[in-house]
Amino acid sequence: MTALHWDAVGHGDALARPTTVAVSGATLYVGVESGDIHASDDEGASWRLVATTPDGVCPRDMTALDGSLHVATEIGVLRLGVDGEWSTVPLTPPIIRSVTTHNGSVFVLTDSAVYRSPSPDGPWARVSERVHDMAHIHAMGGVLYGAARQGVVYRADITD
Amino acid sequence: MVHVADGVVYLAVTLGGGNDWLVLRSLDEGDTWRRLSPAIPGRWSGDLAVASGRLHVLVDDRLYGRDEGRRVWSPVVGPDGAEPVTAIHSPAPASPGSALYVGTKGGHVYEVTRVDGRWESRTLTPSSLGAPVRRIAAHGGAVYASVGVTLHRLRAGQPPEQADAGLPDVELAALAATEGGLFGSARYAGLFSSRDGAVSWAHSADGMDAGRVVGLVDSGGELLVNAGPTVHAYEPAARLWWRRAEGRSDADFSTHFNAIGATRTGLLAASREHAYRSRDGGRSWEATRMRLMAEPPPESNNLTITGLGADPGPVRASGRRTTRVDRSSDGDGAGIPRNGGPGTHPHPIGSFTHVGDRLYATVRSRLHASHDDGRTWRPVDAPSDQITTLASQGSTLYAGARGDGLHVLDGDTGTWRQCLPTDMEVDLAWVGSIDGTLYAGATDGGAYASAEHLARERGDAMRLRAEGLRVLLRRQPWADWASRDGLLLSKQGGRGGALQTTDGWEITAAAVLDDTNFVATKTHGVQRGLRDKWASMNEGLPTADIRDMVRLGSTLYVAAAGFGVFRGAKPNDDNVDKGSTRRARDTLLGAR
Repeated sequence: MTALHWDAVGHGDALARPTTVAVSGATLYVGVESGDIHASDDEGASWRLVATTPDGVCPRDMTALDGSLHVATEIGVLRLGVDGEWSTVPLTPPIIRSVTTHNGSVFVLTDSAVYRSPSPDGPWARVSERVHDMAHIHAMGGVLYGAARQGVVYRADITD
Repeated sequence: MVHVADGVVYLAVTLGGGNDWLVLRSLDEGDTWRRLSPAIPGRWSGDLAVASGRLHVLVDDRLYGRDEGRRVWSPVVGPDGAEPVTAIHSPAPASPGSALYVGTKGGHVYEVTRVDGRWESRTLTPSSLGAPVRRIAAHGGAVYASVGVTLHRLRAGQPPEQADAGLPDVELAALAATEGGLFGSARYAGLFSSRDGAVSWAHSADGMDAGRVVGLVDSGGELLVNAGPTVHAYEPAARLWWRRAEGRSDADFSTHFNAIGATRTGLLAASREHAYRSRDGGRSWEATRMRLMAEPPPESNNLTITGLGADPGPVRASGRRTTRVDRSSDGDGAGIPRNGGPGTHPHPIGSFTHVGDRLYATVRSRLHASHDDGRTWRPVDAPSDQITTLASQGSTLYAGARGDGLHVLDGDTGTWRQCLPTDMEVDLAWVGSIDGTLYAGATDGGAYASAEHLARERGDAMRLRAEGLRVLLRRQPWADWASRDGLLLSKQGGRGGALQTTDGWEITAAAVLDDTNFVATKTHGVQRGLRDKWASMNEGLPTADIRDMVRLGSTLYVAAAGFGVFRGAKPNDDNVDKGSTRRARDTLLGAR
């Protein structure tokens, strides 16, 4: 295969600051910094504005799934339904590093945060962030201990 | 990794084949070894250097210095904070005042003059070399730094000079300086040498019957190379390499050396399992005894404690490499084996807990239970075979998994249910889908999935199981993931699979066009991958910062940060209306 040659597509300033592109069927979508989502059904020859994210939050990435556009933003995943309405997608951590219990509460260490719930069925609350170097948690004597990979042990008092 | 400095031999080994590294030190050329505990977790770069009497290692892009007084490894950072370090080098032979050279991910090289938690240095690079520094060598008053496929000559106070005339466009796997000149291993392209301070390079592999050189070492002024199963020595007068492994005794030709080093009286080589010593320049080898000094008691020698469960009764510990479960009473530390222990077939226990008098443990990430206080174990049906952690409370068992979140076993009813912590507002960097499951990545590197999808999709659906991956695209029966090492093609959603390395580029998207991989990056634009090589596909792109890319039909579309959307196609592709797109670009750029 030979090299690719690139040419700009779009019109004026509308697509000048793109952050993400996605495809659904034969439609090409472009998200730009201002929060606008543009679409083209003719391989970029013409474009239409299909939506703007709530408060114009920047769409950092975008994918089409189940007929909806899903947009990654600083406030979570926003789903643009076929009715043009935005909704927020509930997220869950699929990778669990460690779990511990204390007086009926459950603490879960993921690759992003520590979550706590008063029962197995929720509700869950994020109680700590920036845990990327933490490998293990253990609750004991009213204290939650976290062991980091570098041998550092963190502690936090457990409050009701 | 073998490193020799001032008669002291250092050997880096992994623990249990995992990612924890332990450095061993020998003062008698390999007969006895002491552990320089603790182990260091992370990805080992292979770099180890002794400067000013202090041992330095490079793990996970972090520089550590050995504090022998406190017997710890201390992080060492530069004056500008914790800039990732990608290469270190100290010229041989080591001396009390010998320099330490440090190369960084940001493309800088420093000559370190003092280390005390932070290093003090003088910079050899007035501006960044543009990519992470991978190899450093000092020779003839200059310092040479390998960055990507480019070799730079650095002198303090002077701008960098390109010094790779005659070298192929291949990133160097090794770089060494000897009295006879500079030598660079260009991986499968062979070995090259320069005798004129890197003004010119010439292929220098005559006589070598191995194509790939994995290590270079200076042995008392004689240069040797490690080319997998063979060791060669260089004869400068004839400019020929001589094979130095005839008559291997303990190490036969099936023994593959991972590293070699030169000691006071000979050579030391390490395979995956053993260390070997040669006193005749590599012609014959004997296995060293590799005796560890100050060994812990034999019973606990192979026991790596991976979990502790404290309850009102005894304390139990599980081991990564044995099925043994110990019980110690009253915290006296004297473990009583509850089952066969090391004598049985080894199974790695990852985590365990108990519900009442029933013990639960994970063996190779699968759930097992014991009803007889740990003497016998049976597998238990569980909703995941990737269980990483266990905990219990009352009659409830919690099992955390890789890829499937948290599962709960109700001890009263014996039924499992998925118990998913949910979060709505997360600061996200990316989103993608695999097999109908939506994944999103937080800016701190953590992964999230759609709670609805994770609860609904079960069984054979592919899962994101490894940390630090970015979901890119599904390609039956595999999926593409971006890792910090490159483009990963995996069937299981973990790190097992084919990897196309990308030298630390941040991959933002991937696409397959004409059965060829394309990746979009934040620093190197669009790259086309073919086996282990990448080729730049940036003709017509005004920036290398590409935030996203998709394929529509036979055309790629990219979001070029600050410049607009661009369409990439092969020349003469009928799908491209070149006239209209050229006008569109002129309009777009003209408006700015």
